[in-house]
Amino acid sequence: MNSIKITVAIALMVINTGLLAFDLETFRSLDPDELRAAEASMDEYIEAGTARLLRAPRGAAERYVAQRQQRLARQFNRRAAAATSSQGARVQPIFWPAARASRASLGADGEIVIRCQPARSMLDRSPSDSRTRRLPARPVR
Amino acid sequence: MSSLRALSLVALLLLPVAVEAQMFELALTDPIEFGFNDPAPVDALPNNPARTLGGQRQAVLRRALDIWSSRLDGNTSIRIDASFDDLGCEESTTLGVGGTRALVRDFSGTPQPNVNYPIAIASAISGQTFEDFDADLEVRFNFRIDSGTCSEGLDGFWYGLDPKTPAPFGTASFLELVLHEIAHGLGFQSLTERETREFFGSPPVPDALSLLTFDLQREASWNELTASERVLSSTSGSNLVWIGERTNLRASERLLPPGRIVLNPGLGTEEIRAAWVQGFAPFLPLEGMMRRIVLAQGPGPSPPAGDPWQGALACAPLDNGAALAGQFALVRRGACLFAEKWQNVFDAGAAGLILVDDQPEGNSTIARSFSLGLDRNLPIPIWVVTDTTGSRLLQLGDQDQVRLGYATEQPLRGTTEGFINLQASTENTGSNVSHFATSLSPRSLMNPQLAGFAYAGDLDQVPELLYDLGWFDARDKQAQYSGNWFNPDRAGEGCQLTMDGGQDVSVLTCYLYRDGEQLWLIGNGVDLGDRYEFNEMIITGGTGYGNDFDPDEVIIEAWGEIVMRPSDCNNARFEFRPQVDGLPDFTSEMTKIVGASCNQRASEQIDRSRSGNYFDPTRAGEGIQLALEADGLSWVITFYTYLDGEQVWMIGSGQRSGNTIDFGDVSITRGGDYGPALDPDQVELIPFGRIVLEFNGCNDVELIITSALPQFSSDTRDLTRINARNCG
Repeated sequence: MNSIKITVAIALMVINTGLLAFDLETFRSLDPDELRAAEASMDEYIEAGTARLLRAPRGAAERYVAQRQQRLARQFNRRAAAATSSQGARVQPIFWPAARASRASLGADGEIVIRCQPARSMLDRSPSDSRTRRLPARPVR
Repeated sequence: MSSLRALSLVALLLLPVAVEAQMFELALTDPIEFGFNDPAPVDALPNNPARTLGGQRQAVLRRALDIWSSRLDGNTSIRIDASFDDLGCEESTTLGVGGTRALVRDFSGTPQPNVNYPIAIASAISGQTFEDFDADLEVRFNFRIDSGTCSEGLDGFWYGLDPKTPAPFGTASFLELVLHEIAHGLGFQSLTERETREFFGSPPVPDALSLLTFDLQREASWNELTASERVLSSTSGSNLVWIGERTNLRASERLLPPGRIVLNPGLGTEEIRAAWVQGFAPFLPLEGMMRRIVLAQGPGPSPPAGDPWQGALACAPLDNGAALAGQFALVRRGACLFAEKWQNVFDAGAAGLILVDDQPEGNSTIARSFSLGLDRNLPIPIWVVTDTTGSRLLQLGDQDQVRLGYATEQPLRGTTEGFINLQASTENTGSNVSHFATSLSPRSLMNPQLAGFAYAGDLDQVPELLYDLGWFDARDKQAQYSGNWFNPDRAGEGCQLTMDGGQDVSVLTCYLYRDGEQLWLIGNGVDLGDRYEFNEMIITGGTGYGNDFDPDEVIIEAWGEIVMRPSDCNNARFEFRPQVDGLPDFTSEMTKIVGASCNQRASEQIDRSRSGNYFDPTRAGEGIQLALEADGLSWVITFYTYLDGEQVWMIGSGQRSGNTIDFGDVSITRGGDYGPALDPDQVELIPFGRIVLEFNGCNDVELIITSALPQFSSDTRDLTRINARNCG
């Protein structure tokens, strides 16, 4: 293999998760209220944990949310790349399977709780009926 | 404006040092006008003067890198990919994500063969950059948080960087979040499958964290357990510990035993009850504090007449300040924020707040989880007691005393059998193993729950866990702290630190005032990793200037101690603890007069070998301290001498040309006072003249003094280093 081919091969091997970044242009074209509504009703059209579609998304906001969640799911579900030799060592990509995520939610007493969890929990969701009994956010007294 | 203030202001305008080989190589991968590049105009925040949203975000990220790089070292740069993303706005909203990009095993210099290490550790140890990956660790943050409508109760990130101005309620400290996520990527991250606790790899091999993650019941490290045993171990509570030596050593000096309150201590009728310390450092010393209990009384919301807690909610400025002054204020929980009660008690002059829970016994998790929401830092302790204990405290007589302190005979909180606990809860199991336990007191940066409030940048024992994993500590770049330090709110006084000998003997001088006159202190320090302790600072006096100087007249007295706690190479808290003349303790948040990026490896530190302390051996008791500032160009000299039996110091800045440094603007000051009494506006500048240094070899220098003041003669002296260097 000549040096140019080697360079190209290495370039193709580079793991650049930036390529998987979200669609900013589409995001900016969305109506914020419709987006929030699409996120609030996600359970109706996206299966928690897998991001599998339960029905066809309706409207641009639902389509955007579905694509975002499915992109996330693909990152988690991608078959782990095998370890390869690199500069005498064995290396293996791992970011999404092992990544951590700090997630904010309302605690039972109405105070924001920021808890660090596996990033995969971003595909999970709380039961939708809990939204009906949310407390106003406030610091505990 | 005093010359010191002018010097400081000019110095702060100097551009940061251009660093070619950094500790962390940062790639901001956001598109233009988005995320870290967001041009939206914003108001300046405390210590974060950037006027765009992206600018403020970058400033916090770079501060986080400064903090981490001040405590770590490596043989090559560590590459970080940082970006903003849409991580969704849901009932549980993601603020940020972080972790290692890859696992590496059997790299050059690996501490253990056939063990998976996060790529950052492999790079730091081996000096290799693994080109298969464009970054070693990655952090991503949710830009939608700043919309204020993403997560109920969360208005946005807080980008302020002044530890005295913590994140307001309704915001999340971006600095805490960034430091936390980076810590995961640096190695505090269990590299096992989430549900099965299988190791990664084909074939699977243990990860570095597992080697030191220990199950006390099974008497085995995680690499010695089966996957199913690890699953059980991961929820086994205080049974799961970290056995890394350095972490446990640091934890043993940082963690506190359970709190307690002793009623009528030492009277034979003493009664001991549990109490829970809250808030953030500094905490009460282990010996505790003894005071009387005074029930807070004031207007505002209150239980009805007849209730023993009537008027005792402290939700408004208190009426009984005279009685509360210097004593513990007893306050009932409820009706307003804890922080407001704390503020009112502090404003009343009380020595501490004892907050009485209003929840039934055993039904209050807030006190026990060390998680009061506080949006400020006040210098008095805040403790919580149960409703029953509160009622008992109400029965105490006017002269009865209590001691707030710690059950020192009990294990430190968050430890078992002397080892620090990792999180291994049966609830929220996703947080397990990759964090310290929530039971630690004080809480850790790597608590599963971010504090959210009043976080000031402390890394606690997290760097030591990374050292246990294989990271190099920052011992080889101690000189990063060398230079002159001052507090912008206390311009006119400061401290100068140099590393003498082989750049490992820390010498601190502090130039202060008392009753309008100058004083200076000098002492050697001990590097304790997260702080320098100067335990034997001395103060001198008794002789005169020039020909009136007589070394036999010099009186040397112990002054006390100074503790310097750097948060990064540019910022440190100085704690002054005098043991003479009834002078009060005080704390000063200082910055370097010439700041620079801390993001450097030891091999890239500037040459500070000419910095140090020099004296004339025939004139012991007098000398100069010379510091090269962080820009590598500015030199600051402090000349410590005497006049008519009293201490005098003078200070000036200069630049080096060959073997000469010319300090043309040397000044003397006067008019300040000690500690809390200092008024920087009273500090007066007096031009002294000029000092020129001519180097003769690496240890000797000629001091040429040209005085413009009649009481000081012009003179020339031959000086040599107090701690000679090896010039070879």
